[in-house]
Amino acid sequence: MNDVVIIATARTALAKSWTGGFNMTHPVALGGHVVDHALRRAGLEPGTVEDVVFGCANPEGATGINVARQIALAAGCPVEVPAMTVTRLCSSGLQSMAIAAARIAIGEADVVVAGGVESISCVQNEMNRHMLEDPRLRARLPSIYMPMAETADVVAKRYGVSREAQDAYGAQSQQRAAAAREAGRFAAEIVPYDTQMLIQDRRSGEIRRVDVTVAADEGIRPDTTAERIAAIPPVLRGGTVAAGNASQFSDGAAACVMTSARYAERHGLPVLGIWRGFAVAGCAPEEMGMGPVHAVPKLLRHTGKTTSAIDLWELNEAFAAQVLPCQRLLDIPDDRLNVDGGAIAVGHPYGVSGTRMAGHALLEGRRRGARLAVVTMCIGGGQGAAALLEIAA
Amino acid sequence: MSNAVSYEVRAGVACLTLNLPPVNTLDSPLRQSLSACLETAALDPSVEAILISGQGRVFCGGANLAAFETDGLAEPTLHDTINRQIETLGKPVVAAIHGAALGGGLELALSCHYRLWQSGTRLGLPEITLGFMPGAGGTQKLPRAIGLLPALNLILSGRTALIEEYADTALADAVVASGIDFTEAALNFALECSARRPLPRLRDRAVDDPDAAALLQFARRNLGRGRGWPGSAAAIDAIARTVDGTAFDDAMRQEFTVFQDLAQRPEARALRYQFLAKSRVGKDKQAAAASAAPLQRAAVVGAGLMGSGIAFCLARAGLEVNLTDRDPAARERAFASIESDLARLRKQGVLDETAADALRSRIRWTEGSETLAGIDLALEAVAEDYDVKAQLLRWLDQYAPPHALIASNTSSLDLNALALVTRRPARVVGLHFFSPASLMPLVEVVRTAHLAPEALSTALALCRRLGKTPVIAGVCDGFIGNRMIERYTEQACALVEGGITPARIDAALERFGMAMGPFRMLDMVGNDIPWAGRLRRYASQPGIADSIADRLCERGWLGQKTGQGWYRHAPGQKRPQANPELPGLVEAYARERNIAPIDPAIDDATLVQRCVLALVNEGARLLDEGIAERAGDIDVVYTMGYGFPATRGGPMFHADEAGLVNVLRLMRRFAAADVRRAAFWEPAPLLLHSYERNVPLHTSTSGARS
Repeated sequence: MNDVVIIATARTALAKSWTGGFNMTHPVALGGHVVDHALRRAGLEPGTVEDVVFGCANPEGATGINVARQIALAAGCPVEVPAMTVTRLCSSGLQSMAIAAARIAIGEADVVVAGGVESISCVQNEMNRHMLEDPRLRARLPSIYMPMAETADVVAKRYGVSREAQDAYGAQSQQRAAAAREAGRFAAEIVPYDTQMLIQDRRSGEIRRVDVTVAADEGIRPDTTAERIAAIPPVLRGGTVAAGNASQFSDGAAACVMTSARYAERHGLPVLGIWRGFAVAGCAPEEMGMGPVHAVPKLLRHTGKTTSAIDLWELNEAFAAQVLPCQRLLDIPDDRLNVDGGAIAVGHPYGVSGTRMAGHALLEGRRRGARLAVVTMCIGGGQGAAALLEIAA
Repeated sequence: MSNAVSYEVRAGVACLTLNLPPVNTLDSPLRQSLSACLETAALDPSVEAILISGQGRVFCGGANLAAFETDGLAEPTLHDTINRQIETLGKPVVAAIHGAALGGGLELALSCHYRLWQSGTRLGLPEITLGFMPGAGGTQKLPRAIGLLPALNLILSGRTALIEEYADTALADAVVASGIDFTEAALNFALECSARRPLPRLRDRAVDDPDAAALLQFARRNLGRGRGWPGSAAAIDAIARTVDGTAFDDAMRQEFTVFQDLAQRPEARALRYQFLAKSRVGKDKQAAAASAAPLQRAAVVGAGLMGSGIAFCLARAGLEVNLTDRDPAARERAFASIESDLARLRKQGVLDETAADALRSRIRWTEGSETLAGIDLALEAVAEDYDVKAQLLRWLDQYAPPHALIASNTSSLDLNALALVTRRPARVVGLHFFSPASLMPLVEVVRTAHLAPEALSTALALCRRLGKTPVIAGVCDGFIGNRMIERYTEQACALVEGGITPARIDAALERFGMAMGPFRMLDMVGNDIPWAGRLRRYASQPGIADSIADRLCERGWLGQKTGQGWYRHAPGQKRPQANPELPGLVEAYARERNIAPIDPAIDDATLVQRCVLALVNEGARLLDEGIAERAGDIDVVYTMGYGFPATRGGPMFHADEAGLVNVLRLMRRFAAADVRRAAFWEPAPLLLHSYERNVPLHTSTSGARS
């Protein structure tokens, strides 16, 4: 097996869905932008890419028709460069990296671009709902179609996570992300994007197209406190999950360039880290938030690592309600978990988050002198995914 | 043959002039005449170009809403026949547009090959604000003329705009500066066009916007947040057909089908009715015959929230205002309130700092009788107490110049009697402003038995000058609005007495469309205000049923100002919470008065009708008594002053929509359910009269039964 390395990473800042900077930007353009810049950072010509793998949770509409292929072309890749779109919902951006890594490891390719794209603004409310559910499966296992917020409330109840604890975690995520942004710790990953957005004048109702540069994550609110979050009504009646302790809808794209270690060495490419392994595992759909608790042990088992060997954890903040019990059951120390905040603050464009977190773990890990990082997330329908990265010294 | 369009050939140009005063609406005779003239021009070999213009103030004001139901869509139609005539005419058709081109008037211009505008002309497609959408090509041609987003904004807002905003689009082939003879310029332009071929048609243009899908989706999504009108979503769909590959003629047919469907819906009928009702209020034959006196200086006595709001309105309209109050502490509060009104206008960008300064300088704080020196109008806005007002009116009468009009802002007192405390009863009028006066568009102009036509005329003209809509009301306790609202809240209270929570009743009425449910409203206004009126009535009409509302007032639960009322109002919290002590109070009251509980399974529609039909019955009585002149006056008072949904037309229109048979049936049930107030549900004679003769209630006038 070939060792697989990550050479470069690039992402857009994450914009609030519907009201944010990417509310009229085509997701193909977002994807093209980050692939283009990841390749520049890697110092590779688009023509050298042997495959482009992009993850997307809702690969239809504006992110349909094999969006990865369109993204590759938008990035300037010649028509000879192939591409595939992959979905495993919220882990799609990590799954795309896993596929790229596997292909490189068994020698099928030397240079693959992996990434994720999601435009919740342009896709989610336009979804094709025809026969969205199979009534027979629903009859047998209704939780497979349970809305995500509801699964988080189930987890909160079953694992005893109070509203107060969730709100405190939400505020912490905001404060950590704000501090990271302030210190410029997202600067190396974000590529600003000039675009136009739509706004509506509150008073006149007039819709206007305005020029914007999206250069920073829009969801970060430094003034957030647990008290303020506590005043937000829950999403579901009687529940504890609320805006403020759950991830934000957002739009964006992220990409990374992966090669074989041999190729990187031969071409003198800068190595960010080494892909050490990947695991996925299933669980009960109604507690999908606990996915990491099933995937991480599997990952550690087959990579031969222990929890204590992991220096840095990126555990996707779908909901504070699931982060907290995952942290407890996986025994993750607070000062190694989501050190620069997570999706509650920066936003969660589903298919992007895996690539974003891997990229951030590599850059932040290098800054901290960490050696091993785990990127993990829960997945709708009841799954967890986890990847082990070794940070280049 | 009608001569609503005149025809004259000048130098090979057929000049077709729309001539149907006042605004050349597209009534059937005008369309017939226009269609015939177009044919004449088409067949006359000496005619090389056609020029359509308008006589009078404007090019064309669009459809005549008053005739809409009867002949608005009769042949020859604008959307089909006239459109097609112009398209296939083979000679250039030029629209020369001055003043305004609105609705169908703009669509007529869009059908022409060329459009020449006089500078300063206004244009717009206001259909959406009337519950439907453009139906003669507006949704298809305007995007082709000015672009997708500008057209979307213009059509969805229904606003009017100056042609200058679109001077460099295909909407305007030329804009003629004011000062240049527009008629001559138009004729010359038509001559220039006569040889041009091919003839440009907006239908042949493509809408080119790479972001079309995103724009349309954004517009659709934002409708979901309480914005928009009944026709908004359909208008977006229609506009979307300009970019989705639909063939132009198919899109035109679909536009018309949707237009017809929307126009027949209750919301659109209600909005058209409201539009016409508003155009009829505040008109009086006697007053129209008398001339209004010019007003330059006014005194406002009583500088509370209402007084300072009125002073602001007067100053904004250019009057010099002397403001005063017995309480010296009122001065600071009054100017703070005026400043906050100014700040709002500044923020909205409708007032610049110079204008704000000028407005400020027109309001002067004065003391004693200097307040009344040299004024043309004295307006009192002191406490709602007969003796206080009577004393003040005597003082005003004594010191104000003899010619001055005295206006009282009373909302309920006997103004016939109050007028007689002065030596000028013919010049004492009621001007009942609504709070906050600077924002609320309605004024009840109360006509006493003694009022002179000139004084009424002056009062009506003043309201219009302030930008308010005046509705004339006769003298009774509460005039139109408050007398009816009293009945409405009384029924809402009866529901509470039966065990229904204020929150449920408010929610049901707000879903019905009321801007605010009765209990949120009462807590905002203050429960002591209607209480004072009730106490007066308890004294004068012994034996009438009291109300749970009295018990709240006795406890000092006056609403927001005391932190407790029908709800509990915690400081800093926007949403009122349930008042935890209310159920106990209700239970005790119900036991004492032997009130049967209402089945909690009662549906919301019944809760709503119980309150709204109280408005209907009282409204019908007001017409019978001649307090209100027209049913439409009542409906305008309710939509403009009390947050009644305009898409339901008003209480009287609502009664017809519900069906008078159902109204009477429900009223009998309500009488049986609440024996204490059974007498109230005795149907007003006018209701029975309308039902029996099968005539609508909403077109009734005060003399309907005689």
